[in-house]
Amino acid sequence: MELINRYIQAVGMLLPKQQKQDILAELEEDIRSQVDDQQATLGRPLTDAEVSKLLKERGSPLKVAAGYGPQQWLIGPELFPAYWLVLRIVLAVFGAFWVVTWIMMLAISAQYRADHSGLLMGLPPVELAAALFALAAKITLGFAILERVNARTGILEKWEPSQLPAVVSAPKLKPPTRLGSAIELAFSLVATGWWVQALTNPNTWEFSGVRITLLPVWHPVFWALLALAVFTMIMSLDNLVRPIRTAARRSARAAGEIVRNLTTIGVMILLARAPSLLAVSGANMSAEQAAELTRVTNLGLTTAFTVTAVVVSIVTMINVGKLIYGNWAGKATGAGAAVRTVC
Amino acid sequence: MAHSSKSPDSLENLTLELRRGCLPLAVLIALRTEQYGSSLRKLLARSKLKIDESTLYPLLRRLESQGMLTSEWREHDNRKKRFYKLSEYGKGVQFLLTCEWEQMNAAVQKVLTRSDAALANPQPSTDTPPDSAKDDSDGTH
Repeated sequence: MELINRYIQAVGMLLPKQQKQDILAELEEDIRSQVDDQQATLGRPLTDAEVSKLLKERGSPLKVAAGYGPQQWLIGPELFPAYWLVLRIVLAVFGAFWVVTWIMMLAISAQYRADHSGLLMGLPPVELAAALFALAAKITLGFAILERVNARTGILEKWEPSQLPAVVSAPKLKPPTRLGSAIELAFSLVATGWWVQALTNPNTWEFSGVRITLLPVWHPVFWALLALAVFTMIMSLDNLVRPIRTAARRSARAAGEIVRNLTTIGVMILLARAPSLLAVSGANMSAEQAAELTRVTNLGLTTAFTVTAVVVSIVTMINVGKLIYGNWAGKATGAGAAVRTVC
Repeated sequence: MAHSSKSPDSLENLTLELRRGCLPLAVLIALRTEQYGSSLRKLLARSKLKIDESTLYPLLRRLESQGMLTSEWREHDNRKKRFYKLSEYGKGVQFLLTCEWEQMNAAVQKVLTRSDAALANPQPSTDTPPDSAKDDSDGTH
C-alpha cells in the first residue's frame, strides 16, 4: 500500500490548501474500496504491479489534481484565433524586415562588417531571437489582459454590424488628399531651402563646442537629393492646384512616385555604402573621444539610410503590385469596377 | 494547425463532447437516491455510462459548490465514506434539465426521422417546407 500513499501524497502536493484534506480523504477511500473489490474478486491481496496498474488507470497525479482546480487559461478559445493571427503577422513582418536590413547592412556597410567580424558575427541572430521572443511576450501579455478585461466587462460583445470594416476591394492606389499635398509641399519647401543653404555654405555645423563636418561623399548626391525635393514639391503643387481625379492622372502620379522612390533607394544605398559620412571634432574632447563619436554617428547614419532603403523598397514593391494588379483588375472587370477579393 | 475533417480524433472529440454534456444530468438523476462515490460510479457503469474517477469526483465537488448537492461523511462497511444527495435546489435543476434533455432528444429524433425519409424519397429541398409551421409549433424548439 506504499504506492497508494505515494500517489495520495503526489496528488496532495498539487491541490488547493482549503480542500486538500477533504479531497485526499475521499480519494484514498475510493482507491482502497477499489482495491478491496479487486481483492475480493481475486481472493488474494493485490501485488504491487496490480496496484500500480490500478493507479495508472486513474491518471497521473497532475491530471487528477487538475480536475479539482478551476478551468482557467491565459488566452481563451474566443480570442485565440485573433491572437494567433496577430502573432504570426507581427513576428513574420518584424523578422523579415530585420533580416533584410541585416543582410543589407552586411552588404553595404564596411564599418558594420568590421564591427561584426569573428565571433561577433553570431550576435545579430541572437539579438533577433531575443527581439522576437520579447515581441511575442508583449503580444501574449496584451491578449491575456484583453481576455481578462473582456471576462469582466464583456467589451468584445459590444459590437455593431455597421461598425465592421468595409468589404475589401481590389487594391487601389489612392490619390493623395489636398491637405496631405499641402503638408508635403510645406515640408519639401523647408527641406529644399535648408539643403541648399547647408551645402552652399562650408559643410560644417557647430553645436555647443561640437563640430560636425560633412565629408566629400555627400557632393555627388547633392543634386540627386535636391532633385528629389523639387520633384516632390512639383507633385504636391500639382495635386493642390489640380486634384487627381482621373485614372490616367492617378497612374501617372503612381509612376512618378515609383521613379522618385527608386532614386531615393539609390541615394540611400550610395550613402550607406560610404566608409564615412561625417567627422565629429570638438575643443573639449580628446582625439579618441572624437574618433569614437564619429564612428558611432556614422554607424547610426548608415543604419538609418539602410532602414530607409528597405522601407522605401517595400513601399515601392507594394505600390508596383497595386498598380499592376489594379490595372489588371480594372481591365478584367471593366473600367472602374471594384473587384472583391475573397479571403 | 487545422486537423483533417476525417481525423480519427474528430469522432473521439465529438463523442467526448456529447458525453461531457450528458454526465452532469446523469449524475443529478442518479443522486435522487443517496450514493457515495464508488457506488455512484458503479450505478452509472451498470447503465452503460462509464465515468472515470478523475472526472466524477471533481464533477461532484462542482455540483456541490453550486448548491445542487449536499454531502456528509458517514461510516459504511467499517469505512468512512462521503455520501452525496440532491439538495432541494438540485431537485429543481434536475427536473428542468431532464425536461430540456427530453426536448432535445425528441428534436434530434425528429431530424433523424425526416432525414431518413428524405433519403428514402429524395426530393429537391426548399428553404420553407410546407409543414414547417405546423411542426415548429409542437414545443420541440
